[in-house]
Amino acid sequence: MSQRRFIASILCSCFLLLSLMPLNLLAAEVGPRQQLEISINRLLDVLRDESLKGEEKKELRREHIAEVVFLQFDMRQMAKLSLGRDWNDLSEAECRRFTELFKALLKESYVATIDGYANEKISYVKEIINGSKAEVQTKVISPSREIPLSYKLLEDAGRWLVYDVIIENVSLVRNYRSQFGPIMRKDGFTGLLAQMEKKIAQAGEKKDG
Amino acid sequence: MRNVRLNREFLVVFILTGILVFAAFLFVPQNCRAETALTNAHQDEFSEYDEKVEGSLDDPLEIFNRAIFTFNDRLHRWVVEPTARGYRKVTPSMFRTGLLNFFNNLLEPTRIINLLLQGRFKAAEETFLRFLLNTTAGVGGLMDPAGFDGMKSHERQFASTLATYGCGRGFYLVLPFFGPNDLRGTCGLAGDTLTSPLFYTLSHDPLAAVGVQASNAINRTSFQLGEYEKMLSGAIDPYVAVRDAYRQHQQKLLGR
Repeated sequence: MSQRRFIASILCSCFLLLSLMPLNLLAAEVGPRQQLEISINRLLDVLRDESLKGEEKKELRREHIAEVVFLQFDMRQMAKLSLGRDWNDLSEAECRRFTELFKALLKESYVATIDGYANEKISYVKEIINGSKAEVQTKVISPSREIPLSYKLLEDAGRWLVYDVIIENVSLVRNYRSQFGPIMRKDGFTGLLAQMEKKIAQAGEKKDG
Repeated sequence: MRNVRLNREFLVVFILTGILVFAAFLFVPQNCRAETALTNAHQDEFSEYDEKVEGSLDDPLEIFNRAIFTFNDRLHRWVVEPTARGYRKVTPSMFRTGLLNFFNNLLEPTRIINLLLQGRFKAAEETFLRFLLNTTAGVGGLMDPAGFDGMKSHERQFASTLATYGCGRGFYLVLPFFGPNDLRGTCGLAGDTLTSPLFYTLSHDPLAAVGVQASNAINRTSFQLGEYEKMLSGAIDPYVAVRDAYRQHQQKLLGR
């Protein structure tokens, strides 16, 4: 067999085999960036929804934002990393309670922050994939400035879920860990839960008042 | 006969290539996984967020800092933010942008000097041209024609010059009015002040200097209304949240 024919048959076989590849293998190739983009586009739809605009519809709008955004978040992992190694000593019920309160806190800070991004444009800067971890860097562009916003994601059975958000170089998880650490050492886990509950109640009062 | 032989050869190549392609798909990812598992063996998933020694910043004056932080916090919530809110309502956005550009333009000489001190001549040249263009064509810096031309501002202050010369950060310090800083940054502020054109035009009249700084602060705040409150609305300990945000921000800026 001539060399040219040999190469041709290899190429031919490769092509045939690739075309026979099961479709789900290709579907798994939908990377972190694309999955995140779908979630962000849904968020932008909510932010730009005329029926949800205005100060008086703030509560309803933020409910919608939280629903869309948290779908792409691995809340338990976020809560876990924010608490640090003390997580390993918690019972399952305590883990759940902590995650629940952590989610409520994020609703106050993170959801409120992105609620202001209605007129901004999002540009995707970079996607870094390292095994089952990834970082997607974006920029929130408004007429007066640019805010760098990155997401850290973890793969779980083909689904990429966010476990940290970095706004203007500040990691949310790191920021919470720096707060939780000293409180855990001083007041213990029960003390931390009490302070979280107090903060959430305070934010609730402000809304009613 | 020749055709039959060819077909058989083709079949052998086809099968071999098939095995190779599947082997690649089956083994390569597993190998990667095994490798990452190996490198992660001596650390756990929390390690990613362990405080790095180089980045840590002591806070020996925490009690003092907390007091100043509370003062700044009240000042911002009760005075600066409401004033900026009212100011925004009665001022056209063009005026506010103009003032923002004007104050930004006055910082360029400081940036140029520091870029030169750090040996970044290309960036210094760009900043110098920017300053020249904006001061002339931009009517004393009110407009930013250089920005339209894609000329970037290079943020450099004396604190970063001290850092390039190997000066350590000292410790965390909350300054009244100015907010979070560190010892090195506070020393740098003195250098920044001495190179600011504002200092030389206003040094004979301290009251006017305070007025100018205050209007700058209020104008700046009018572009980020509510952001401070939102940022801290989910914080359990706002003092620690701000200190950590400052550390992380500085690490990123100086790490470059």
